[in-house]
Amino acid sequence: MPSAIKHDHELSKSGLVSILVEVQGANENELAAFLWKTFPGNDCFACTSTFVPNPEAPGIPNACVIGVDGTLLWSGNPLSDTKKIDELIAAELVKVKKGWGASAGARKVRASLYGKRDLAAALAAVEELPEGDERTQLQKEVDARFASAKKSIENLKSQGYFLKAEEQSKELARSVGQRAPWVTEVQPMVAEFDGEALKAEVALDKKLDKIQDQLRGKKGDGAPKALAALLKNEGSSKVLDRARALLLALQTKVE
Amino acid sequence: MNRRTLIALAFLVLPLAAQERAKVGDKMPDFSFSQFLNGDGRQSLSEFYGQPVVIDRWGTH
Repeated sequence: MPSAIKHDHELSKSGLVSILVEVQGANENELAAFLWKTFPGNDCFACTSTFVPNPEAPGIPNACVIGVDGTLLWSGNPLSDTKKIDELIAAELVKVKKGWGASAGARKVRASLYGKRDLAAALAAVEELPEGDERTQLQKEVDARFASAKKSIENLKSQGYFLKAEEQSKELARSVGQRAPWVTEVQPMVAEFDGEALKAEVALDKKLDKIQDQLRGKKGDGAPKALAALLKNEGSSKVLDRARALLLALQTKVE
Repeated sequence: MNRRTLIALAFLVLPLAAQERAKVGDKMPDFSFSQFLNGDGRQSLSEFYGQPVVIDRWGTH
């Protein structure tokens, strides 16, 4: 797992997604306790047991590498094949940056969509393509990316990650530019953060983020006290729910 | 372990065993992850299309 965390630190900005799936039955609190206490600098996505449909393998660690187009590229023990994994990831990250596909037009669309995360530019590149299967496929990818970005923002709000949700809303607004019909959908999403309810959640989230930053920097001795102080805020708040969960995790013994 | 527990376990395990597994070179079937710590709001594999994904199965014990 340390190698996954290292890869993530080095390559997430280039587009790598690293996901840690705990398979020994830890619940969410135990997972959070373990990660905050053992790997506080971890930025990988992490979740409790989930069925991953790669080839079955005895024991752990067990990993797989999935390419930009959803193809399973490698599966096995990550400790036994590190060079191969590094090479595969490097090749896929080139595809993120430069795009992939049979034609220069397809590569241009995908480089804009996945490399630059620029939906408006990707759509403009789709519109330059001749009618046909390729254009239809790429239009679907552009539409799916927009739908996914919107859904992610809603998920983040429902999970109490308001700072990330606000950042992603602004990022989505930048990405769609003035393109209709997207712009009329995205503007209210950004404006929602000017409302009192979300302003309050964002303010609490900034305080929680500061505590988490101290934990990440291994200067989190005062974190339980800071969390207790944060939890003195009254009222219903999803950020405070997260703060309660973090406090519980920090109070949980790790075996 | 009594018989009732075994039957309950069978109901839990058999559907997982029957789920489709990809081979290297195949497209991965879509599936959802349980809620992420450190997530960005995406919860299913298909939402990561366009980026390489490394999934590391590990244990806390």
